[in-house]
Amino acid sequence: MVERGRERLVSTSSGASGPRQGGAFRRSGKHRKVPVEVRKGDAGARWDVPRAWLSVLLLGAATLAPAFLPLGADSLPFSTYPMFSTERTEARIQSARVVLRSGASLPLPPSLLGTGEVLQAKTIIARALRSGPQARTALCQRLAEAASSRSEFSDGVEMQLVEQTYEPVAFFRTEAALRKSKRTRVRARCPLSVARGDR
Amino acid sequence: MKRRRRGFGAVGCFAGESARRYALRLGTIRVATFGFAAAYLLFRGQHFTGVIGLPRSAFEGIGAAAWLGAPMPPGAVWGAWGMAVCGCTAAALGIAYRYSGPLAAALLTWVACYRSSFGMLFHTEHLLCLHALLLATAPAAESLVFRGGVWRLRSRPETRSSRACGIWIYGLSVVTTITYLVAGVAKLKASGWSWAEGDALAAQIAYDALRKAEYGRMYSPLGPIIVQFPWLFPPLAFGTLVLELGAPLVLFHRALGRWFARLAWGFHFGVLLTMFIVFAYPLSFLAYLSFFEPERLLLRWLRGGRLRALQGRFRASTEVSRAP
Repeated sequence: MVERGRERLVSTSSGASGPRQGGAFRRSGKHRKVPVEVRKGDAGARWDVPRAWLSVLLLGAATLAPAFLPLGADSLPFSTYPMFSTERTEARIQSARVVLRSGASLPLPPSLLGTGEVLQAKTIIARALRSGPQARTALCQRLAEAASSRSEFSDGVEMQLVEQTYEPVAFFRTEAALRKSKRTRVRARCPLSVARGDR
Repeated sequence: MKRRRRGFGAVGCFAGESARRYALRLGTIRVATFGFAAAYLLFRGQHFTGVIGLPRSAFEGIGAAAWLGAPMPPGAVWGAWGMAVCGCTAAALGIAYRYSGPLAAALLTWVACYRSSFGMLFHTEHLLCLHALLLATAPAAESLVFRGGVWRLRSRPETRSSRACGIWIYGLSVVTTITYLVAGVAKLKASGWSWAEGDALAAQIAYDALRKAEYGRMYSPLGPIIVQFPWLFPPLAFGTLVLELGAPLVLFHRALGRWFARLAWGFHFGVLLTMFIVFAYPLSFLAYLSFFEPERLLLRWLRGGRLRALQGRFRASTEVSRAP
Protein backbone atom coordinates (compact mmCIF):
# COMPACT_ATOMS: atom_id res chain seq x y z
CA MET A 1 0.00 0.00 0.00
CA VAL A 2 1.52 3.28 -1.06
CA GLU A 3 0.03 6.69 -0.60
CA ARG A 4 0.10 9.08 -3.49
CA GLY A 5 -1.43 12.44 -2.74
CA ARG A 6 -5.10 11.85 -2.20
CA GLU A 7 -4.95 8.35 -3.67
CA ARG A 8 -3.62 5.10 -2.34
CA LEU A 9 -2.53 2.02 -4.22
CA VAL A 10 -4.02 -1.10 -2.66
CA SER A 11 -2.77 -4.58 -3.47
CA THR A 12 -5.45 -6.77 -5.04
CA SER A 13 -3.35 -9.90 -5.33
CA SER A 14 -4.54 -11.55 -2.14
CA GLY A 15 -7.56 -13.55 -3.22
CA ALA A 16 -10.68 -14.05 -1.17
CA SER A 17 -9.05 -14.88 2.12
CA GLY A 18 -7.99 -11.37 2.99
CA PRO A 19 -5.01 -9.12 2.47
CA ARG A 20 -1.59 -10.67 2.03
CA GLN A 21 0.44 -10.96 5.18
CA GLY A 22 3.80 -11.84 3.75
CA GLY A 23 5.80 -11.78 0.54
CA ALA A 24 6.66 -8.89 -1.66
CA PHE A 25 4.31 -6.11 -2.55
CA ARG A 26 3.90 -6.13 -6.30
CA ARG A 27 3.70 -2.72 -7.67
CA SER A 28 2.76 -3.37 -11.26
CA GLY A 29 -0.52 -4.75 -12.49
CA LYS A 30 -1.89 -5.92 -9.14
CA HIS A 31 -3.15 -2.81 -7.49
CA ARG A 32 -5.96 -0.37 -7.90
CA LYS A 33 -6.45 3.25 -6.93
CA VAL A 34 -8.55 3.99 -3.89
CA PRO A 35 -9.54 7.56 -3.13
CA VAL A 36 -8.71 8.77 0.35
CA GLU A 37 -11.69 10.73 1.59
CA VAL A 38 -12.36 12.96 4.51
CA ARG A 39 -15.89 12.30 5.66
CA LYS A 40 -18.24 15.25 5.50
CA GLY A 41 -19.38 16.47 8.88
CA ASP A 42 -16.40 14.98 10.64
CA ALA A 43 -14.07 17.92 10.73
CA GLY A 44 -12.09 16.37 13.59
CA ALA A 45 -11.00 13.47 11.39
CA ARG A 46 -8.06 15.45 10.00
CA TRP A 47 -6.57 15.40 13.50
CA ASP A 48 -7.04 11.67 13.98
CA VAL A 49 -3.53 10.72 12.82
CA PRO A 50 -1.67 13.24 15.02
CA ARG A 51 -4.10 12.47 17.85
CA ALA A 52 -3.32 8.77 17.48
CA TRP A 53 0.43 9.34 17.61
CA LEU A 54 0.09 11.71 20.55
CA SER A 55 -2.07 9.23 22.50
CA VAL A 56 0.33 6.36 21.83
CA LEU A 57 3.41 8.41 22.69
CA LEU A 58 1.96 9.85 25.90
CA LEU A 59 0.59 6.57 27.21
CA GLY A 60 3.71 4.68 26.11
CA ALA A 61 5.98 7.19 27.89
CA ALA A 62 3.84 7.11 31.03
CA THR A 63 3.91 3.30 31.04
CA LEU A 64 7.69 3.27 30.58
CA ALA A 65 8.41 6.00 33.15
CA PRO A 66 8.19 3.72 36.24
CA ALA A 67 11.20 1.79 34.90
CA PHE A 68 13.28 4.83 35.92
CA LEU A 69 11.72 5.10 39.39
CA PRO A 70 12.45 3.12 42.58
CA LEU A 71 10.55 -0.17 42.82
CA GLY A 72 8.56 1.19 45.74
CA ALA A 73 6.95 3.82 43.51
CA ASP A 74 4.36 1.32 42.40
CA SER A 75 0.95 2.58 41.34
CA LEU A 76 -1.97 1.96 39.04
CA PRO A 77 -2.28 2.02 36.05
CA PHE A 78 1.42 2.90 35.78
CA SER A 79 3.44 0.34 37.69
CA THR A 80 7.01 -0.69 38.40
CA TYR A 81 5.74 -4.31 38.32
CA PRO A 82 7.81 -5.41 41.31
CA MET A 83 5.97 -8.71 41.74
CA PHE A 84 8.20 -11.80 41.50
CA SER A 85 11.30 -9.56 41.35
CA THR A 86 12.69 -9.92 44.89
CA GLU A 87 14.54 -13.00 46.04
CA ARG A 88 12.82 -14.12 49.24
CA THR A 89 15.40 -16.27 50.95
CA GLU A 90 13.63 -15.52 54.21
CA ALA A 91 9.97 -14.57 54.40
CA ARG A 92 7.96 -13.18 57.29
CA ILE A 93 4.29 -14.02 57.19
CA GLN A 94 1.85 -12.31 59.52
CA SER A 95 -1.41 -14.12 60.13
CA ALA A 96 -4.17 -14.72 62.64
CA ARG A 97 -4.76 -18.12 64.22
CA VAL A 98 -7.41 -19.55 66.49
CA VAL A 99 -6.02 -21.80 69.23
CA LEU A 100 -8.33 -24.73 70.05
CA ARG A 101 -8.84 -26.45 73.42
CA SER A 102 -6.70 -29.33 72.19
CA GLY A 103 -3.75 -26.99 71.74
CA ALA A 104 -3.88 -27.16 67.95
CA SER A 105 -4.47 -23.99 65.96
CA LEU A 106 -6.48 -23.13 62.86
CA PRO A 107 -5.70 -20.34 60.40
CA LEU A 108 -8.19 -17.51 60.21
CA PRO A 109 -9.50 -17.14 56.62
CA PRO A 110 -9.15 -13.75 54.88
CA SER A 111 -12.94 -13.44 54.69
CA LEU A 112 -13.04 -12.71 58.43
CA LEU A 113 -10.80 -9.74 57.78
CA GLY A 114 -13.31 -8.49 55.21
CA THR A 115 -11.47 -9.54 52.05
CA GLY A 116 -11.16 -12.51 49.77
CA GLU A 117 -7.47 -11.89 49.09
CA VAL A 118 -4.67 -13.45 51.10
CA LEU A 119 -2.21 -10.64 50.42
CA GLN A 120 -4.72 -7.97 51.42
CA ALA A 121 -5.46 -9.83 54.66
CA LYS A 122 -1.73 -10.21 55.34
CA THR A 123 -1.19 -6.47 54.79
CA ILE A 124 -4.03 -5.55 57.18
CA ILE A 125 -2.49 -7.69 59.93
CA ALA A 126 1.08 -6.51 59.18
CA ARG A 127 -0.01 -2.85 59.41
CA ALA A 128 -1.76 -3.45 62.71
CA LEU A 129 1.33 -5.20 64.10
CA ARG A 130 3.49 -2.26 63.04
CA SER A 131 1.11 0.30 64.50
CA GLY A 132 1.70 -0.53 68.15
CA PRO A 133 0.07 -2.44 71.01
CA GLN A 134 -3.27 -0.61 70.87
CA ALA A 135 -3.85 -1.35 67.18
CA ARG A 136 -2.74 -4.95 67.68
CA THR A 137 -5.15 -5.51 70.55
CA ALA A 138 -8.01 -3.78 68.72
CA LEU A 139 -7.56 -5.99 65.64
CA CYS A 140 -7.18 -9.11 67.78
CA GLN A 141 -10.43 -8.40 69.62
CA ARG A 142 -12.26 -7.58 66.39
CA LEU A 143 -11.12 -10.86 64.84
CA ALA A 144 -11.98 -12.80 68.01
CA GLU A 145 -15.48 -11.40 67.81
CA ALA A 146 -15.79 -12.31 64.14
CA ALA A 147 -14.40 -15.83 64.70
CA SER A 148 -16.64 -16.53 67.67
CA SER A 149 -19.70 -16.60 65.44
CA ARG A 150 -18.22 -19.25 63.14
CA SER A 151 -18.98 -22.90 63.80
CA GLU A 152 -15.52 -24.14 62.77
CA PHE A 153 -14.03 -22.17 65.65
CA SER A 154 -16.58 -23.28 68.25
CA ASP A 155 -13.81 -25.13 70.10
CA GLY A 156 -11.49 -22.13 70.01
CA VAL A 157 -10.14 -20.57 73.18
CA GLU A 158 -7.75 -17.90 71.99
CA MET A 159 -7.10 -15.63 69.05
CA GLN A 160 -3.45 -14.98 68.21
CA LEU A 161 -1.78 -12.60 65.81
CA VAL A 162 1.45 -14.31 64.86
CA GLU A 163 4.49 -13.51 62.80
CA GLN A 164 6.31 -16.51 61.40
CA THR A 165 9.64 -16.53 59.64
CA TYR A 166 10.27 -19.11 56.96
CA GLU A 167 12.90 -20.08 54.47
CA PRO A 168 10.35 -20.84 51.74
CA VAL A 169 12.42 -23.04 49.43
CA ALA A 170 14.10 -24.93 52.27
CA PHE A 171 10.67 -25.45 53.84
CA PHE A 172 9.34 -27.36 50.85
CA ARG A 173 12.59 -29.20 50.23
CA THR A 174 12.37 -30.63 53.75
CA GLU A 175 10.49 -33.85 54.42
CA ALA A 176 6.80 -33.02 55.01
CA ALA A 177 6.72 -34.24 58.63
CA LEU A 178 9.68 -32.07 59.60
CA ARG A 179 8.46 -28.85 58.02
CA LYS A 180 8.18 -25.93 60.43
CA SER A 181 8.76 -22.22 60.56
CA LYS A 182 12.20 -20.95 61.46
CA ARG A 183 10.79 -18.57 64.08
CA THR A 184 7.31 -17.88 65.46
CA ARG A 185 6.38 -14.81 67.46
CA VAL A 186 2.95 -14.30 68.98
CA ARG A 187 2.45 -10.53 68.71
CA ALA A 188 -1.04 -10.30 70.22
CA ARG A 189 -3.48 -12.64 71.90
CA CYS A 190 -6.98 -12.35 73.26
CA PRO A 191 -9.48 -14.89 74.59
CA LEU A 192 -12.17 -16.07 72.22
CA SER A 193 -14.59 -17.00 74.97
CA VAL A 194 -14.97 -13.36 76.09
CA ALA A 195 -16.03 -12.38 72.60
CA ARG A 196 -18.47 -15.30 72.58
CA GLY A 197 -19.94 -14.18 75.89
CA ASP A 198 -19.17 -17.40 77.79
CA ARG A 199 -17.90 -15.51 80.76
CA MET B 1 9.47 -6.19 -7.90
CA LYS B 2 9.77 -4.09 -4.78
CA ARG B 3 9.88 -5.31 -1.24
CA ARG B 4 6.98 -4.34 0.97
CA ARG B 5 7.74 -1.78 3.60
CA ARG B 6 8.48 -3.47 6.89
CA GLY B 7 7.74 -0.61 9.31
CA PHE B 8 5.25 -1.38 12.09
CA GLY B 9 5.33 -5.01 11.05
CA ALA B 10 3.91 -6.30 14.31
CA VAL B 11 0.45 -5.12 13.48
CA GLY B 12 0.76 -4.57 9.78
CA CYS B 13 0.28 -0.85 10.11
CA PHE B 14 1.22 0.75 6.79
CA ALA B 15 2.34 -2.65 5.56
CA GLY B 16 -0.08 -3.35 2.80
CA GLU B 17 -3.43 -3.72 4.48
CA SER B 18 -6.63 -1.86 3.83
CA ALA B 19 -7.13 1.03 6.21
CA ARG B 20 -10.79 0.07 6.45
CA ARG B 21 -9.58 -3.22 7.82
CA TYR B 22 -7.89 -1.31 10.66
CA ALA B 23 -11.17 0.33 11.56
CA LEU B 24 -12.88 -3.05 11.78
CA ARG B 25 -9.94 -4.51 13.70
CA LEU B 26 -9.95 -1.66 16.18
CA GLY B 27 -13.71 -2.08 16.54
CA THR B 28 -13.28 -5.78 17.23
CA ILE B 29 -10.58 -5.08 19.83
CA ARG B 30 -12.81 -2.43 21.42
CA VAL B 31 -15.68 -4.91 21.75
CA ALA B 32 -13.33 -7.54 23.19
CA THR B 33 -11.55 -5.22 25.65
CA PHE B 34 -14.53 -3.31 27.02
CA GLY B 35 -16.67 -6.46 26.88
CA PHE B 36 -14.07 -8.26 28.96
CA ALA B 37 -13.85 -5.29 31.34
CA ALA B 38 -17.63 -5.29 31.86
CA ALA B 39 -17.70 -9.05 32.47
CA TYR B 40 -14.65 -8.86 34.77
CA LEU B 41 -16.19 -6.07 36.86
CA LEU B 42 -19.47 -7.95 37.03
CA PHE B 43 -18.10 -11.36 37.97
CA ARG B 44 -15.58 -9.94 40.42
CA GLY B 45 -18.05 -7.43 41.77
CA GLN B 46 -17.82 -8.95 45.23
CA HIS B 47 -14.10 -8.11 45.32
CA PHE B 48 -14.56 -4.58 43.99
CA THR B 49 -17.36 -3.72 46.40
CA GLY B 50 -16.07 -5.92 49.24
CA VAL B 51 -13.54 -3.22 50.16
CA ILE B 52 -16.44 -1.51 51.95
CA GLY B 53 -15.93 -3.95 54.82
CA LEU B 54 -12.20 -3.31 55.17
CA PRO B 55 -10.90 -1.26 58.09
CA ARG B 56 -10.35 2.46 57.57
CA SER B 57 -6.76 2.06 58.79
CA ALA B 58 -5.97 -0.18 55.82
CA PHE B 59 -6.77 2.60 53.33
CA GLU B 60 -3.98 4.32 51.46
CA GLY B 61 -5.04 5.88 48.15
CA ILE B 62 -3.30 4.56 45.05
CA GLY B 63 -3.11 6.09 41.56
CA ALA B 64 -6.30 7.94 40.69
CA ALA B 65 -7.51 7.48 44.27
CA ALA B 66 -4.31 8.92 45.78
CA TRP B 67 -6.03 12.22 46.61
CA LEU B 68 -8.61 10.49 48.80
CA GLY B 69 -7.79 10.90 52.48
CA ALA B 70 -10.28 8.30 53.66
CA PRO B 71 -12.43 5.51 52.20
CA MET B 72 -15.54 6.54 50.28
CA PRO B 73 -19.01 5.90 51.70
CA PRO B 74 -20.49 2.52 50.67
CA GLY B 75 -23.02 4.14 48.34
CA ALA B 76 -20.25 5.84 46.35
CA VAL B 77 -18.33 2.54 46.04
CA TRP B 78 -21.42 0.72 44.75
CA GLY B 79 -22.26 3.66 42.47
CA ALA B 80 -18.79 3.83 40.91
CA TRP B 81 -18.75 0.08 40.37
CA GLY B 82 -22.23 0.08 38.82
CA MET B 83 -21.39 2.99 36.55
CA ALA B 84 -18.16 1.28 35.50
CA VAL B 85 -20.08 -1.87 34.52
CA CYS B 86 -22.65 0.17 32.56
CA GLY B 87 -19.95 2.37 30.97
CA CYS B 88 -17.86 -0.60 29.84
CA THR B 89 -20.96 -2.31 28.44
CA ALA B 90 -21.94 0.82 26.52
CA ALA B 91 -18.39 1.22 25.20
CA ALA B 92 -18.29 -2.43 24.11
CA LEU B 93 -21.57 -2.00 22.26
CA GLY B 94 -20.39 1.26 20.72
CA ILE B 95 -23.24 3.30 22.19
CA ALA B 96 -22.27 6.99 22.15
CA TYR B 97 -18.67 5.81 22.16
CA ARG B 98 -17.22 9.30 21.99
CA TYR B 99 -18.47 9.75 25.54
CA SER B 100 -18.95 6.20 26.81
CA GLY B 101 -15.38 5.16 25.85
CA PRO B 102 -13.51 7.76 27.93
CA LEU B 103 -16.08 7.45 30.75
CA ALA B 104 -15.72 3.66 30.83
CA ALA B 105 -11.92 3.82 30.84
CA ALA B 106 -11.89 6.44 33.60
CA LEU B 107 -14.38 4.52 35.76
CA LEU B 108 -12.60 1.21 35.21
CA THR B 109 -9.30 2.81 36.26
CA TRP B 110 -10.98 4.46 39.24
CA VAL B 111 -12.56 1.28 40.64
CA ALA B 112 -9.32 -0.65 40.03
CA CYS B 113 -7.32 2.06 41.86
CA TYR B 114 -9.82 2.19 44.71
CA ARG B 115 -9.79 -1.57 45.15
CA SER B 116 -5.97 -1.51 45.22
CA SER B 117 -5.96 1.20 47.89
CA PHE B 118 -6.42 -1.28 50.74
CA GLY B 119 -2.96 -2.71 51.12
CA MET B 120 -2.60 -4.78 47.97
CA LEU B 121 -1.91 -3.58 44.46
CA PHE B 122 -3.60 -5.88 41.98
CA HIS B 123 -1.15 -6.09 39.09
CA THR B 124 -3.63 -8.23 37.23
CA GLU B 125 -5.61 -5.12 36.23
CA HIS B 126 -2.93 -2.75 34.94
CA LEU B 127 -2.88 -3.89 31.33
CA LEU B 128 -6.66 -3.88 31.07
CA CYS B 129 -6.78 -0.29 32.35
CA LEU B 130 -3.99 0.82 30.00
CA HIS B 131 -5.70 -0.71 26.97
CA ALA B 132 -9.03 0.81 27.95
CA LEU B 133 -7.40 4.23 28.35
CA LEU B 134 -5.78 4.05 24.93
CA LEU B 135 -8.93 2.76 23.25
CA ALA B 136 -10.88 5.59 24.85
CA THR B 137 -8.90 8.11 22.81
CA ALA B 138 -9.54 6.26 19.53
CA PRO B 139 -12.46 6.40 17.09
CA ALA B 140 -12.96 2.71 17.80
CA ALA B 141 -16.68 2.53 17.10
CA GLU B 142 -16.57 3.50 13.44
CA SER B 143 -17.16 0.13 11.88
CA LEU B 144 -18.64 -2.27 14.43
CA VAL B 145 -21.56 -1.13 16.57
CA PHE B 146 -24.66 -2.52 18.21
CA ARG B 147 -27.79 -0.80 16.94
CA GLY B 148 -31.43 -1.79 17.04
CA GLY B 149 -30.72 -5.09 18.74
CA VAL B 150 -28.20 -6.34 16.18
CA TRP B 151 -24.52 -5.93 15.54
CA ARG B 152 -23.86 -3.82 12.47
CA LEU B 153 -20.79 -3.60 10.36
CA ARG B 154 -20.39 -0.29 8.66
CA SER B 155 -18.54 0.09 5.43
CA ARG B 156 -17.45 3.61 4.74
CA PRO B 157 -15.07 5.21 2.32
CA GLU B 158 -11.50 5.11 3.44
CA THR B 159 -10.88 8.08 5.69
CA ARG B 160 -8.00 9.63 7.53
CA SER B 161 -9.75 8.43 10.64
CA SER B 162 -9.68 4.79 9.56
CA ARG B 163 -6.01 5.10 8.64
CA ALA B 164 -5.30 6.40 12.14
CA CYS B 165 -6.88 3.23 13.53
CA GLY B 166 -3.74 1.35 12.49
CA ILE B 167 -1.66 3.62 14.71
CA TRP B 168 -3.92 2.98 17.68
CA ILE B 169 -3.75 -0.78 17.13
CA TYR B 170 0.02 -0.50 17.00
CA GLY B 171 -0.13 1.59 20.17
CA LEU B 172 -1.91 -1.22 22.01
CA SER B 173 0.99 -3.52 21.11
CA VAL B 174 3.49 -0.85 22.19
CA VAL B 175 1.86 -0.46 25.59
CA THR B 176 1.63 -4.24 26.05
CA THR B 177 5.31 -4.78 25.34
CA ILE B 178 6.38 -1.86 27.54
CA THR B 179 4.61 -3.39 30.56
CA TYR B 180 6.66 -6.56 30.10
CA LEU B 181 9.84 -4.53 29.65
CA VAL B 182 9.22 -2.63 32.89
CA ALA B 183 8.59 -5.93 34.70
CA GLY B 184 11.93 -7.22 33.38
CA VAL B 185 13.73 -4.05 34.47
CA ALA B 186 12.19 -4.44 37.96
CA LYS B 187 13.71 -7.91 38.26
CA LEU B 188 17.13 -6.57 37.32
CA LYS B 189 16.79 -3.70 39.78
CA ALA B 190 15.76 -5.97 42.64
CA SER B 191 18.02 -8.97 42.10
CA GLY B 192 20.37 -8.08 39.25
CA TRP B 193 21.24 -10.61 36.56
CA SER B 194 21.29 -13.29 39.26
CA TRP B 195 17.50 -13.40 38.83
CA ALA B 196 18.18 -15.47 35.72
CA GLU B 197 19.73 -18.18 37.92
CA GLY B 198 16.24 -19.11 39.06
CA ASP B 199 16.59 -18.98 42.86
CA ALA B 200 14.37 -15.92 43.12
CA LEU B 201 11.67 -17.58 41.02
CA ALA B 202 11.77 -20.77 43.08
CA ALA B 203 11.59 -18.74 46.31
CA GLN B 204 8.65 -16.77 44.96
CA ILE B 205 6.69 -19.91 44.12
CA ALA B 206 7.45 -21.44 47.52
CA TYR B 207 6.58 -18.19 49.33
CA ASP B 208 3.25 -17.94 47.51
CA ALA B 209 2.29 -21.47 48.57
CA LEU B 210 3.39 -20.78 52.16
CA ARG B 211 1.39 -17.62 52.66
CA LYS B 212 -1.73 -19.23 51.21
CA ALA B 213 -1.28 -22.20 53.53
CA GLU B 214 -0.94 -19.82 56.48
CA TYR B 215 -4.37 -18.40 55.66
CA GLY B 216 -5.97 -21.77 55.12
CA ARG B 217 -6.30 -21.15 51.42
CA MET B 218 -5.76 -23.70 48.71
CA TYR B 219 -2.42 -23.32 46.99
CA SER B 220 -1.22 -24.90 43.79
CA PRO B 221 0.07 -28.41 44.55
CA LEU B 222 2.36 -28.04 41.55
CA GLY B 223 4.33 -25.17 43.14
CA PRO B 224 5.82 -27.09 46.09
CA ILE B 225 6.47 -30.06 43.78
CA ILE B 226 8.51 -28.20 41.19
CA VAL B 227 10.46 -26.41 43.92
CA GLN B 228 12.01 -29.84 44.58
CA PHE B 229 13.69 -29.71 41.17
CA PRO B 230 16.21 -26.84 41.25
CA TRP B 231 17.44 -27.54 37.72
CA LEU B 232 14.06 -26.43 36.33
CA PHE B 233 14.41 -22.84 37.41
CA PRO B 234 17.45 -21.42 35.58
CA PRO B 235 15.91 -22.02 32.10
CA LEU B 236 12.48 -20.79 33.26
CA ALA B 237 13.95 -17.64 34.82
CA PHE B 238 16.24 -16.96 31.88
CA GLY B 239 13.37 -17.43 29.44
CA THR B 240 11.19 -15.06 31.45
CA LEU B 241 13.89 -12.37 31.46
CA VAL B 242 14.49 -12.72 27.71
CA LEU B 243 10.75 -12.52 27.03
CA GLU B 244 10.32 -9.42 29.18
CA LEU B 245 13.43 -7.48 28.26
CA GLY B 246 13.13 -8.37 24.58
CA ALA B 247 9.43 -7.53 24.38
CA PRO B 248 9.76 -4.17 22.57
CA LEU B 249 11.84 -5.78 19.80
CA VAL B 250 8.83 -7.74 18.61
CA LEU B 251 7.21 -4.49 17.50
CA PHE B 252 9.40 -4.56 14.43
CA HIS B 253 8.28 -7.89 13.06
CA ARG B 254 4.77 -9.24 12.79
CA ALA B 255 5.64 -12.93 13.24
CA LEU B 256 7.79 -12.14 16.29
CA GLY B 257 4.87 -10.23 17.74
CA ARG B 258 2.62 -13.23 17.41
CA TRP B 259 5.18 -15.53 19.00
CA PHE B 260 5.65 -13.06 21.80
CA ALA B 261 1.89 -13.10 22.42
CA ARG B 262 1.84 -16.91 22.61
CA LEU B 263 4.88 -17.05 24.89
CA ALA B 264 3.56 -14.31 27.17
CA TRP B 265 0.28 -16.22 27.42
CA GLY B 266 2.32 -19.33 28.28
CA PHE B 267 4.12 -17.35 31.00
CA HIS B 268 0.80 -16.34 32.59
CA PHE B 269 -0.49 -19.89 32.25
CA GLY B 270 2.63 -21.07 34.09
CA VAL B 271 1.96 -18.55 36.86
CA LEU B 272 -1.60 -19.89 37.08
CA LEU B 273 -0.42 -23.50 37.29
CA THR B 274 2.30 -22.93 39.87
CA MET B 275 0.79 -20.16 42.02
CA PHE B 276 -2.94 -20.06 41.28
CA ILE B 277 -2.56 -16.37 40.42
CA VAL B 278 -5.03 -15.47 37.69
CA PHE B 279 -3.98 -12.76 35.25
CA ALA B 280 -7.44 -12.92 33.73
CA TYR B 281 -6.98 -10.42 30.91
CA PRO B 282 -3.74 -11.85 29.47
CA LEU B 283 -5.00 -15.41 30.07
CA SER B 284 -8.12 -14.67 28.04
CA PHE B 285 -5.69 -13.82 25.20
CA LEU B 286 -7.74 -10.67 24.53
CA ALA B 287 -4.75 -8.64 25.75
CA TYR B 288 -2.80 -9.75 22.69
CA LEU B 289 -5.43 -9.19 19.98
CA SER B 290 -3.50 -6.22 18.59
CA PHE B 291 -0.78 -8.63 17.43
CA PHE B 292 -3.29 -10.59 15.37
CA GLU B 293 -6.18 -9.99 13.03
CA PRO B 294 -9.22 -10.68 15.20
CA GLU B 295 -11.57 -9.21 12.58
CA ARG B 296 -10.82 -12.22 10.37
CA LEU B 297 -12.62 -14.42 12.83
CA LEU B 298 -15.59 -12.09 12.69
CA LEU B 299 -15.63 -12.12 8.91
CA ARG B 300 -15.26 -15.90 8.85
CA TRP B 301 -18.30 -16.19 11.07
CA LEU B 302 -20.13 -13.89 8.72
CA ARG B 303 -19.28 -15.97 5.70
CA GLY B 304 -20.19 -19.15 7.56
CA GLY B 305 -23.58 -17.65 8.29
CA ARG B 306 -23.20 -18.41 11.98
CA LEU B 307 -23.94 -14.91 13.11
CA ARG B 308 -27.05 -14.21 11.10
CA ALA B 309 -27.91 -11.39 13.46
CA LEU B 310 -24.97 -9.51 12.03
CA GLN B 311 -26.36 -7.37 9.30
CA GLY B 312 -23.92 -6.17 6.79
CA ARG B 313 -23.87 -3.83 3.97
CA PHE B 314 -20.25 -4.48 4.50
CA ARG B 315 -17.26 -5.25 2.47
CA ALA B 316 -14.12 -5.01 4.54
CA SER B 317 -11.94 -4.59 1.50
CA THR B 318 -11.67 -5.78 -2.07
CA GLU B 319 -10.33 -9.09 -0.82
CA VAL B 320 -13.30 -10.02 1.32
CA SER B 321 -16.42 -11.42 -0.21
CA ARG B 322 -19.74 -9.79 0.50
CA ALA B 323 -21.30 -10.72 3.80
CA PRO B 324 -24.53 -12.73 3.70
